[in-house]
Amino acid sequence: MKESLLLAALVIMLMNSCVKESGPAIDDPPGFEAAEGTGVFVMNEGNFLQGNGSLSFYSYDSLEIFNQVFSSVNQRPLGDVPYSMQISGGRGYIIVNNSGKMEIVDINSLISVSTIFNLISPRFISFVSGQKAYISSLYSDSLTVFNTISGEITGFINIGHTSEALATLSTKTYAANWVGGHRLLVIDNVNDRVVDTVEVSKEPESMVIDRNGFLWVLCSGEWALTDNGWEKISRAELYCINTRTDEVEKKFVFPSISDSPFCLQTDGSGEDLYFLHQGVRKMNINDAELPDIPIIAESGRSFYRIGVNPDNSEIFISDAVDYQQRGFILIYDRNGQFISEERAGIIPGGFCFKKAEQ
Amino acid sequence: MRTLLLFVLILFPLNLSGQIPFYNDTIAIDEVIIKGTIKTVKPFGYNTADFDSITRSINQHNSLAALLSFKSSVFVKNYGSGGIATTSIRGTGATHSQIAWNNIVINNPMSGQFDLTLIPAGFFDDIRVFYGGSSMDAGGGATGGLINIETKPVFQKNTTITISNTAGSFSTFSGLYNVNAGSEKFQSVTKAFLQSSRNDFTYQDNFSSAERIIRRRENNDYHCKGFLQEIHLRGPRNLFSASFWYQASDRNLPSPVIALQSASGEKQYDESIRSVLNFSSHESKYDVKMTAAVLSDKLNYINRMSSTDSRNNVTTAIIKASAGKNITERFRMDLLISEELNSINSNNYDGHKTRSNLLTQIVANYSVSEFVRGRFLLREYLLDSKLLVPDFSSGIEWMISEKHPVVLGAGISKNSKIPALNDMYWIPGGNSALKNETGYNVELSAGYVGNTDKAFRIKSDLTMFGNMIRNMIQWRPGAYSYWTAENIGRVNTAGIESETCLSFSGKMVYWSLNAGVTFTRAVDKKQNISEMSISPQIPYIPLYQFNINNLLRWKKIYSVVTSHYTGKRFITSDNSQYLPGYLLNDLILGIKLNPGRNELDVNVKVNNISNINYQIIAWYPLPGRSVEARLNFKIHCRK
Repeated sequence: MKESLLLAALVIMLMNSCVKESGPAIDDPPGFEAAEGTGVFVMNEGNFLQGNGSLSFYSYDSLEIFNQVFSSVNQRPLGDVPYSMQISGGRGYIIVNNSGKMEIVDINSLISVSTIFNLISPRFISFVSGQKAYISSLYSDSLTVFNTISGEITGFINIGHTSEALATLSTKTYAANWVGGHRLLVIDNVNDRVVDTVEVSKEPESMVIDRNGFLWVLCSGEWALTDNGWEKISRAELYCINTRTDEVEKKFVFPSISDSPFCLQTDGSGEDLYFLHQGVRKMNINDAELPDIPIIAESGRSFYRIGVNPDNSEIFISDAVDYQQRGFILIYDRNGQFISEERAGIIPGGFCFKKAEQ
Repeated sequence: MRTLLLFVLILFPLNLSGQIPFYNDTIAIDEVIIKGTIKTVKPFGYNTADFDSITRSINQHNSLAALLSFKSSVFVKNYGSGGIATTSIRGTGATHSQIAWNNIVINNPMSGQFDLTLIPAGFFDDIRVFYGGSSMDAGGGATGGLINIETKPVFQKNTTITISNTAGSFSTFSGLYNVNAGSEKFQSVTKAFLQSSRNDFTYQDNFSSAERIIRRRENNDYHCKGFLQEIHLRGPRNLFSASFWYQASDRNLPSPVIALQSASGEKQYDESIRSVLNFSSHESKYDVKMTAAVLSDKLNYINRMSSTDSRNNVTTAIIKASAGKNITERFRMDLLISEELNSINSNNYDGHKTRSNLLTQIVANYSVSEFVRGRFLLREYLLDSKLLVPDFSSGIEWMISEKHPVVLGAGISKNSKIPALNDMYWIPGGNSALKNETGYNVELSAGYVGNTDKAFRIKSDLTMFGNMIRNMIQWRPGAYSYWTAENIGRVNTAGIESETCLSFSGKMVYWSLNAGVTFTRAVDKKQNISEMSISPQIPYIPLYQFNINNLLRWKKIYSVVTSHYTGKRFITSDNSQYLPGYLLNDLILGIKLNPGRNELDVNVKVNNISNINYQIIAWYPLPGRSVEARLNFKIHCRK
């Protein structure tokens, strides 16, 4: 009898000795409580397919960075390649590219409100009205139409091309056909239809709208296989487009064919443009020429993304280091004077600036 | 009493070891003194590992990846059944391990790796792991080690037919069929393998929402087939063999669960055709061997979502000629000349690429006395038209005394690895100016083999090793948004591995235990993490691994329990994230019967009996408890 009981106990113990959590773990959970006050969200993209992306929050109140804030609050990882984030109506909309989803969170507590699944490689969200947003897609020919009130996908706009950056004015939205493309699709915000196209040069990568309502488009130029191998075959160009006529107002051609500028941003006033090209370059919207030298040199770092605080024009740069270990956030004032650096997550990428009242 | 017996069967069912046969059908013969050359399968001074007949038998329907996970010194990086599987030996990467078929390296020259899922373990008669510098006899560049899979003809008059089928959870079915026929001078060996699985197991999703949801794995099915035909002709002093091996697999590749993109349409089709001709002649003082091989590998990878359609065809032609001479009773020399020509057609390369690799190697083995012997190997490569710095491997071993058969060994080697062709020509990012990697290996070992009496046997070894890899090829971010291959890595690995095999053979009872433990420290000296006082461990190299395999046989009933522990593995280079360690237990209960002259073996295997949730690669969950039943019928035909 004793042997039977012992055997039964051992077998049951063996059969139930489950490891409760089997997925990736982190040793030191951060002491984050809430993202109240002014601050900056950082999308740490993580390594593709490794699910180690995360969200960081730099607080202007404590001048401290909090990492892994989404997983800390919601007790689950954010997903694979969190790519961009926008704030609207007290909610944060986090686009998680390779998880094909959008996480909607309360912007202060970061508690998950809902998760929108089955998006095809989403990239950016742009709010076109109080209740409607468009979501771009790297792999599909459609923009997703999302109702922010009901929290549902209400339709798709077939634009015939993949899409990356979005820029919205009151009546229309521009969608950039980045990978292999050379045009902008103009969408009527009311009827959700493509109404025009604007031809630009190869690979329109990023866009901003300046203080005059003009659209600035940074095209990185084309790479292709040639007799010399994989190389750049067209120059990068910066366009200024009149959004009333959709005509090209100005065009700046980068001097060397190897120049590959990216990540165009503007400050809160819409007066100055910033982009990454062997450091951080700054130019005024009225300048007649491209900037010759960077205002912030790269100095051996791996600049990956840039953001400019719309309130104080402080420049946030992400340094991806070796793209494998946790990267850094470098903070500079509007003139390129260094302020501080903070350790973020793996491959820190896009920035989203939060005001106190949001 | 029955309860006690059941208790013993379940909890002490240990496995086996060494070369102990599965069944007690061995005929005892008187002691025979064999005098011969000093050529051995195990290079002096180095550790090697093999798999006993039972471990191979219970894994015959599994892939080589599953079999290798029985060795604590080999870490198999596995995406799951049917998924891609590579090895890490002694803390090195997948490209530092090689797979050889009868001493012909069959790694894909494009990736420099081999997908172990593509080899059914039951196709081969012997599988041996050559660690570190001991790998250089069969191949170059295997800094971690080389796994040699061998087919060995047994010249016998009678014909045997083996039919082996399994059916298991997740709609998994496999069949392995074998016909051996011939005479004392001629043997034909025919083997065929078929396997398919829906592989749609369930897993717990605790990451996509606040609720824990049970989901079913999608896009995870696979189909494999293989065919092997060998003929062997034996003369008085020579042997001629011709081998043909066809292997194909059609696999859907699931995304990591955190990506949740089931519609990616990711799949891979592999097809290999390998043909080898061998001729060897053995005279009393010298022997010669000639080998000609043509290997053809096709790999198509499709990802519908990212519009990827990668098509890759590799053809490799190999000619080898070797000669060995026993100069004295104590001194033997071997000379090898080998030419390997790779031809690649890939839509990821800029046109057709070829590479020629001419190798010359000389090996000297010398026995100083009955107890001390050593060897030295020197190798030179002519890669296309470029001579490389020569490689070497040397080892010495000392048997302390005949009474106490403890063997101490030491080895040191330099082993170059030429870049994989993807590293050189992949678009974008390939770098045709890459230099070869250089690996330095040192190891010290102690081994003991003893028989306390006729029934009890013990074999144990302990090895300390260290590797330094310089100019290691790593892909790093390049000028724009693509990565490029560069010679920038500096990796050091060091560790201790130990294995002990015990067995007891009684009249009705046979028991054996095979236990191994490995500690591996692997650091990338180029990694500079400012907050860390010690260098971080390289991702996916477990610090600790151990395994215990147990077999207990009583009359015709047997049980096997295997326990395998894999420790914490960091998954980021700064060690900020990790996968927890896990202990996996499998159980087999079976019976072997002998209807007439034939053999019938029926068993049931329960995998992961503790039903643990675990991941070998982050976000690729693996099945919980699952069951498979196997029927193995071996027919001995009369002549």
